[in-house]
Amino acid sequence: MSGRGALFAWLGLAGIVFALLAFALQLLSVGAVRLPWSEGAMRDFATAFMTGNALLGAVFLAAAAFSDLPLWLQRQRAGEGGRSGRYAMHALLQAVLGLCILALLAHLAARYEVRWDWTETRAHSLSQQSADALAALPAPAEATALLPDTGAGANLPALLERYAAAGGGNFSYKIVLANEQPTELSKLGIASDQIGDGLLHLQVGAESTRLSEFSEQALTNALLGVARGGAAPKKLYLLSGHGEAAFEGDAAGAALGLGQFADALRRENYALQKLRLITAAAVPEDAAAVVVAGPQQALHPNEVRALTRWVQGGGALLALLDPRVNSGLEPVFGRWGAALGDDVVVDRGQSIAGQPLAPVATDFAEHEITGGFAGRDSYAVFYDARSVAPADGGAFSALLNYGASSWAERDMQLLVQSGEAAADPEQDLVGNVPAAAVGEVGARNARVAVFGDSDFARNQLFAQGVNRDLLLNTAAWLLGEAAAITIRPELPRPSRLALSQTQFETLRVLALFVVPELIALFGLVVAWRRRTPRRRKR
Amino acid sequence: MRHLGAIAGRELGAYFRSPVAYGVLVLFSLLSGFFFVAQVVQFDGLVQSIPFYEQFYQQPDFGEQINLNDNFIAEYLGVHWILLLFLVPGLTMNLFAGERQHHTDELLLTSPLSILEIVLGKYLATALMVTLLGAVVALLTGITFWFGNPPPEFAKTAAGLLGLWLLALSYAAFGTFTSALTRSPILAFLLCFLVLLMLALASFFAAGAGEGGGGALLALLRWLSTEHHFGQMRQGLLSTTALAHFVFFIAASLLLAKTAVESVRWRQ
Repeated sequence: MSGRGALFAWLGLAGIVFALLAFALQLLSVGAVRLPWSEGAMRDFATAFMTGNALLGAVFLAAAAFSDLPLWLQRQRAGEGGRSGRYAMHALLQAVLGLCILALLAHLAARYEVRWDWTETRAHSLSQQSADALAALPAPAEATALLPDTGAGANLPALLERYAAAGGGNFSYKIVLANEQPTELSKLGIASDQIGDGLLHLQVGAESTRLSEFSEQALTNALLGVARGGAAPKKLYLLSGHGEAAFEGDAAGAALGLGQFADALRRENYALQKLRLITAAAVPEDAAAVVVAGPQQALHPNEVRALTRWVQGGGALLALLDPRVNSGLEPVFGRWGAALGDDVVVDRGQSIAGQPLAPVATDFAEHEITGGFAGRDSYAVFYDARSVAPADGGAFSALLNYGASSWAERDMQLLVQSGEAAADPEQDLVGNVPAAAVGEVGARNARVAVFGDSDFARNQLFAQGVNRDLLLNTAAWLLGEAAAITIRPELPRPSRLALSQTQFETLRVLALFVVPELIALFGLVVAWRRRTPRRRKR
Repeated sequence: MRHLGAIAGRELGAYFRSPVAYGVLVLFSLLSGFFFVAQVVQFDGLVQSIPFYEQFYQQPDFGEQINLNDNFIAEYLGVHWILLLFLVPGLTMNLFAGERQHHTDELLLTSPLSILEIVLGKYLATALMVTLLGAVVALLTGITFWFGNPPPEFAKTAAGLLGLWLLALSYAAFGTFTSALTRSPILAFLLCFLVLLMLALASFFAAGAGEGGGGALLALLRWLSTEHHFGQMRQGLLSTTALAHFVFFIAASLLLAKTAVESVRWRQ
């Protein structure tokens, strides 16, 4: 290359290098690079710098090539430069072709991706239920994740990726950052303040649903729900007017409120509404289920009648009835086959922090609701509860029982006055007291669930043990969503390092001192032996 | 291809005669050992803090979540990218640049060996050295199996070690390329180090920008990001995408190295 040509080549190279550096710096510091053809980008110094360098670099490289052009042409004509020129072309072509092939192979590997999950807990794979749900989709599912900013929805992309990988083309997703693509929001009809910490919009065919909880369980249940065409959220009516736990408004957030349960229900795509049965003549037609959450006063006989008629008509009912409250529903339940004890459950052996009135139930029945709890050290926490004893041969069966050391104390006077209690086998239910009962009641097989306590559903205890799952599974069962399932990610088994102090010291000494020095000495010996020539014996 | 072994053997011999290779080995085992010991201390601290989390921070499941794979091995392996970033260019810098410096490259290039054989042979030697480094890490990781109660998951650990090995092989391949570009080993070292560092930083940034956002450019950067794929493998997930990334990186670097070496033949 001529002198000038070489200079041009170096200048050109410098330009390209600095353009790339600017590009990298922009990416590192600002996180995004404004491309020169976007509006107003050239007013930004960094973009102008980058573009200018790139252009000038290209110009100089071209000039370098052209400055040698006459010489090159001359040599071509003389037949001199032919061979090396051919070599160059050949080599460059080979390189470019090779890179293209490699890129294509890599692209194919990504497009037709195969994954291997080498964890024991299958942390990167979907559960069988999710895989089944994907296989049973009537139409391809499209998920749009709407995130407020880049930090939100941490595990969501990985989760969506798992569905896409298992979906075999039936599941596609895209992630939209709300502030960057407001058009996407308006396309889906979502306002930016509805997004909160992140919202997932699922579309299967013509039906769609939204969820804000990013777990495999929530997503698969949503898929199942949407696939069934259940676009309209099911309405749950909560009885009010008797001091029941608050599920909306400020009181819902208090320790004794029902806010967390209500939020969890809403996330499962249920709509909640207050039911003033005193003023309404009957339970509204559009109710999917009625919830009686811890009334503190008696219901009016009209209300009791309305509820009875509701159940006889096949409607679902969830009752959380506290001890020492005569709600008026007790005789009704008694007729149906579940005896609500006029007692309070005491357990010193299996309770929270030894508090006798805070019993813990670990004995779960084999039922759709509690099936997933068996054998996993699951426990449900209650406070100030009464017994719910299913009658033999009745419609009800016990859902879960307290511990062997529990009993249902009927002599509440004594308990309240002196704080003492003792199991009296003649009066009290002793041992494995049933905490709740479920059953299908009446000619229409209405699903009814009754718990002897409302505190376990209130905010204070909702997140304890399996309370949350217990309640949500009960709700799902009541509404006949047999396919609603509990998927709990299996945690890797906890492990520890059993190193004694001496062992640790030995390890430290070996790793930091001995082994490196051994390697160094070995190297020195080898190097020394190579340096000094061996004396040959002649 | 018959001579591949011969070249690799010659290069390996050169490695074991040179102070650089020993320096790298010693430094690597020292630093890796240091990080291992530090990790033991950190893990112990974490375990000690479990009752604190369980009682005061109301996280009764905290102790259940602490295990050797996620809280020890994954972090210990993760630290090695920076060790390798510094040390692997040191191993590769003399591959071609050193030959040029000592003027033994003409001898090599005029021999009947094909350029591809030479490049692959030299790379193979480096790959073996790098595998030795990987063996050091594997040995130290093995200690957690000996003393772990219960021992960590084998397959998950193996996935992480595989990722580390592939990472090291990728760096070695790129180092081979930069060595073929220049006459000065120091320049080869710096070029390799700086470019790999920039790539790593850019990829951290792409990861930080969130998985799905940012469009095609960031998606490409994420695919190019070794840390992204290595991170996945440390968590026990292997995919053809990740493997393809490493294979692409190695193959592309070696192809470019071959082109660079060949260019002597047509450069004036």
